[in-house]
Amino acid sequence: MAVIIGAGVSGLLRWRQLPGSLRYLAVLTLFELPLELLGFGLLLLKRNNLFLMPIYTVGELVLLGLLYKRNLHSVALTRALPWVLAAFTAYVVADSLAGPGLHWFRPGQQVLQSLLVLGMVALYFRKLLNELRVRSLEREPMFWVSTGLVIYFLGYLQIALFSNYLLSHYSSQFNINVWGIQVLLSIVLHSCYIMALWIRPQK
Amino acid sequence: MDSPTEINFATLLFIGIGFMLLAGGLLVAFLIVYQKRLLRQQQQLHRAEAEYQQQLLSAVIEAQEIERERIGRDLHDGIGSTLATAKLLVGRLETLATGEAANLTITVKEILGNAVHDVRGLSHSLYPAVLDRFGLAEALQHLADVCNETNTLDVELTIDYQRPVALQQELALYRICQELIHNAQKHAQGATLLQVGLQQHSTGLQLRVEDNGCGFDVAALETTRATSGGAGLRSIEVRVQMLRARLSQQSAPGQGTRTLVEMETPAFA
Repeated sequence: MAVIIGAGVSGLLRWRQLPGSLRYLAVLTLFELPLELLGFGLLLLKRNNLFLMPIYTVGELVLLGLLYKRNLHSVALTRALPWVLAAFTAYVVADSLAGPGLHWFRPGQQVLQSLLVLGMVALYFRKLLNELRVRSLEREPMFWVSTGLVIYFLGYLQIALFSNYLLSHYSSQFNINVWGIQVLLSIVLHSCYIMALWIRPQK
Repeated sequence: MDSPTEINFATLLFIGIGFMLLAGGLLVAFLIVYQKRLLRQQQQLHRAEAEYQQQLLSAVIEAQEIERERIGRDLHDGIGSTLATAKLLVGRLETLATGEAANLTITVKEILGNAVHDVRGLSHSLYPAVLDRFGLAEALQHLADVCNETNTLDVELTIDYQRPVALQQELALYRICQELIHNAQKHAQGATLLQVGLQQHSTGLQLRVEDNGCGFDVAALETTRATSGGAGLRSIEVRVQMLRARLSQQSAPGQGTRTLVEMETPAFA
């Protein structure tokens, strides 16, 4: 939780200094913060907080999509992104309203979101190698964001895929252990966000 | 269907997650290493290009200096001394009797005539007016005629040039040809014939200069050129680059030298 708060505060503090293309990242950290706090509060009250996940998933994908659109300058991505985001949002709404209700995991939404984010990261890595404009990767904010996203979503993919199966078939302790990994991955991701927000981009 | 035991599923799940994380880590590590390597290669390429540009620039400046030196020498030794002699003779006219003065006037006229001829020659070598007036084919013909008159090496010219290219391109081709002929006259020992060909086809133009002289070892020349200068060849390369053309040279000891310049021209409509 501390690292998520740290990312949100970093986004707020660095807003003025950030270039336009990175402000979506700051918006993302500020978008996540109240949802995480609300989710954590509900968890402490032993209430189900899974109804927040569709909002989180759609918001995160939209903001990451806008972030990559501003940084990739790809005509194909710019054209496809509104349609992809609209289709994904429609799917999330339909999937959330249908089925067993909002108190269960939605592996389909999570896996699809993970694959779309990994796809955008792959596009960024391809651009990085094709254009060779970045001289020093450690001073490139988008490299940190992409590295965090690759590590997070590659690790999270299987957790998302088996989330409902784990919840219904295995013990609470086992579930806590598995979600502990997700927390570790989230710490890595948000540390990368903080890094990206604080480093001075190379000119 | 029975569920797998927790311990088995946990192991499989954790191995799966670990494998994915390892793959992600390796991907990022590969990206960092590969990007650095590509950057190094790009920097090496830029350095080589900059070095080459520097060499070309040096060659251009060197060629200019050589040309200025030649013009200065021609002016001083040729036209300058001719005019000085004429001035001296004109000075003597005042002291001579009418008959002798008439003879001396004829001599002065001859000397001044030679000076005019020298000025024309110098002017032509600086800028071939015939190229401007009549085009590349005529200029090459004139160049070949002058070479045949003044040199023992026969120049045989073959021209198939129907659609003139831009004047700047013609000038560059003319200079290349002039330099190649000059090189052959200077270096092609034992050569008896120099064939010059200008061939135009549907999409391009080919300039060929070929002698039957002593030839040389192309590979050996490449290694010695960096240290020994070779301003003439480098000035040819500059012009070839300017024309966006290709330069190729074939030679071997005892087998003469064949130089080709091939450039693309817009297709004939």
